[in-house]
Amino acid sequence: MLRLADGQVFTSGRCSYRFRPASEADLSHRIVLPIQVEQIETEAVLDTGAMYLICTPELASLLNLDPQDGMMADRLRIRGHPIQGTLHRLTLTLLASEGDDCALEVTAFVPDPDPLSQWDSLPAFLGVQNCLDGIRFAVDPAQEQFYFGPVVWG
Amino acid sequence: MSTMPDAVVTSTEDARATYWPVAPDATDSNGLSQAVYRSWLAQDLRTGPTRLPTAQLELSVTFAGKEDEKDKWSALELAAEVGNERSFLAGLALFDWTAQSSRDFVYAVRLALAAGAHKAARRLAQEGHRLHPAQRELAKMAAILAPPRAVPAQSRPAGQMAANQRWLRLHRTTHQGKWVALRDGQLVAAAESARELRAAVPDLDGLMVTIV
Repeated sequence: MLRLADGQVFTSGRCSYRFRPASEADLSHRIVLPIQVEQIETEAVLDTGAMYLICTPELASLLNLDPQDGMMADRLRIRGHPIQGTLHRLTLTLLASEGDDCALEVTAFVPDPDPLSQWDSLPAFLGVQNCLDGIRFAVDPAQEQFYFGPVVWG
Repeated sequence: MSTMPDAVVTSTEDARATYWPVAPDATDSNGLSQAVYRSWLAQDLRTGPTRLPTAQLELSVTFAGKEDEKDKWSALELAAEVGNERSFLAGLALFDWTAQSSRDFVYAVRLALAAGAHKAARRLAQEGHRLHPAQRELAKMAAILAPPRAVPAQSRPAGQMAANQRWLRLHRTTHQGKWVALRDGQLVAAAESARELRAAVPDLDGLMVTIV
């Protein structure tokens, strides 16, 4: 795995990512990583401008999340836009094809279903603030490899 | 009016969130008093990056140093309404949070999320829970908004993930927009929505589920 110049471990796991648009309507390519949320193995778009693990309503339905267990956020502001939804505490695992998986308990935001937002055509999103800022990570674009972990915060 | 030091104008939410609570007659760890925050808030209300509606300009005059508790809450509400994080953080610094009720903390957490001050929301929840440990809503907020923490990873079969990723690369065009369930690089089911997929495959344990 990756090490700092003094030999310290920088990252302890590695996985291949897919570089593709987030949805059919998306015009930009994104880094799409294999992850596990609670018991469900799935994919998530790496979004360095976002915060929290954003778990779409579709994925939330697969996880059987009960809104009563979460915290209502009637006007949570993400990237300057107010969005209504529920905050939960979920286990996110970054899945390694080499090295160690990295499991984190993180804040997850589940937006309320909204026909105009097209959440149903999107995978989950991994924000940096309040999510991936708990670990070290690095990207090798030439080989489409994502290096991650261990947890350095909390 | 005081001039805002550059270091603060350009600071991140992280840095600002460490400033409060500030006791009325003390300075914080950066040597700043509430008077400084008050002048920033007054300036933000008039000319800040996300200027508040002109109908609220009257409030900025109040923040020349004679505001009361109601004015402070109004400033937080306005900052949350327009998503002005900087004003919100400056407004937080004017309160003596050791004297606030549990309901005030719950309300302030919700306003912080609306303002986009997510780390301040976390800190309000933690401080509120520390000061009011019996209040269940604050306990829940503090737990949900806590920093990420490491938990033991579950073991899983080796090789399955690579096989599933290979399937996704090969079948992206033919299954684009579909929800699929995969096991060991083999398609188990495909559907138009996650709900339909769940209906087709009630037990998703051990499967990869994604939208192609």
